[in-house]
Amino acid sequence: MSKHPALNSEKLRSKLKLKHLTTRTTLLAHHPHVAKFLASSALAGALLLAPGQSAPTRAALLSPSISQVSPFDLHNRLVEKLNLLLPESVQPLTFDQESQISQALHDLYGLHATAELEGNHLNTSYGLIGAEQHLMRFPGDVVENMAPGKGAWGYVEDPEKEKYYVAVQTLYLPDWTTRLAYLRDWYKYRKVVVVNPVNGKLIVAVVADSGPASWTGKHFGGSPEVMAYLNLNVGMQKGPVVLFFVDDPADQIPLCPVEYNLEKPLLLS
Amino acid sequence: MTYFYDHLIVLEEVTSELDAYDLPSDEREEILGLINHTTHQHILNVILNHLPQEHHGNFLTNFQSSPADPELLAFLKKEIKADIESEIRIQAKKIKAEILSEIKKSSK
Repeated sequence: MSKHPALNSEKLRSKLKLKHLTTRTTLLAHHPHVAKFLASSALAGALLLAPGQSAPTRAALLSPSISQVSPFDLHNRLVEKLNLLLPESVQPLTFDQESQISQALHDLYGLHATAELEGNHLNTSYGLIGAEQHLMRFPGDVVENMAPGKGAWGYVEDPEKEKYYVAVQTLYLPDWTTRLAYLRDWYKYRKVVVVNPVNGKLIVAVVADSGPASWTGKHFGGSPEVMAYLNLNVGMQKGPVVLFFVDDPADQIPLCPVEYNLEKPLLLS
Repeated sequence: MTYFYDHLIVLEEVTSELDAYDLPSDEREEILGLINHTTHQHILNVILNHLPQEHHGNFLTNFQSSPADPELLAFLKKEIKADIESEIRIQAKKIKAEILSEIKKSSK
């Protein structure tokens, strides 16, 4: 018989990893020369890396040109940053809050994402997202958990777009009716990034549907895959997210979870 | 790996607390590794905060080559005005308390 009740080792590991990250960040922020001194030493592995991080990761830690931190650390850093910037409950953000979040997304993930792009801004960039169903890709398309009709822009022929899509409340935009033709085209498959501020996970998706209705209390909808990655596919299947437009005119950023800095190649280990 | 200040930080209390739970050996090792690394990073930060900047290079070079050398502590005591042994003990006690608190909060 054990002397104590069971230990939630996953919770403890997460807490300790966060503490490890905070301590390492503090050490290297106060004394950046430590990394250089310990670069060729076993001490670097012992002092600067979390258990399980490999020697190639150590090389990454010490090189400014490649991604320096693990997805776990990146997510935690974003959580820390968003904790400082976001209000307690979902609501429209100030310009300053949105600017600082954009900066954090660029600093951590190399992502150019903004709440306003080409003069367009949703009614809120910080709101509740709820689970949506799959959208039809072609007439007669049948999969499990399929929406009964087409999306706001018709059939979503590209399976990647259908997999990683969001719904936004275009119908409540103040100029939706007066600028319908322009806005309808502008929002169709508009690339966005959705960030879960609770766990720091983010995913690039496209706008492929309109909604949800305001009476639901939600502001965005997410495809089953989007919600699953953000860990929002459990319980009430909704939660707070930040949703920004991705400035990607050359269409170089793939639709998928983002787990490393896009401007710093990921080191294979 | 052993360090010249190991006798000042004494993590057995944390290890004992953790060993009261029936953790698989790989999880135990990972968690102990995190605790060790976090503690040593914190102590290195404390040392460098107190040690005048001009001695950092010398200290880090020697620490890198012989991390357990007791002469390192003698060097710190000579170059740091504050009672660095006491400071390491205090900071180690503080971080140990934080870690023990996290373990207790993670009990189901």
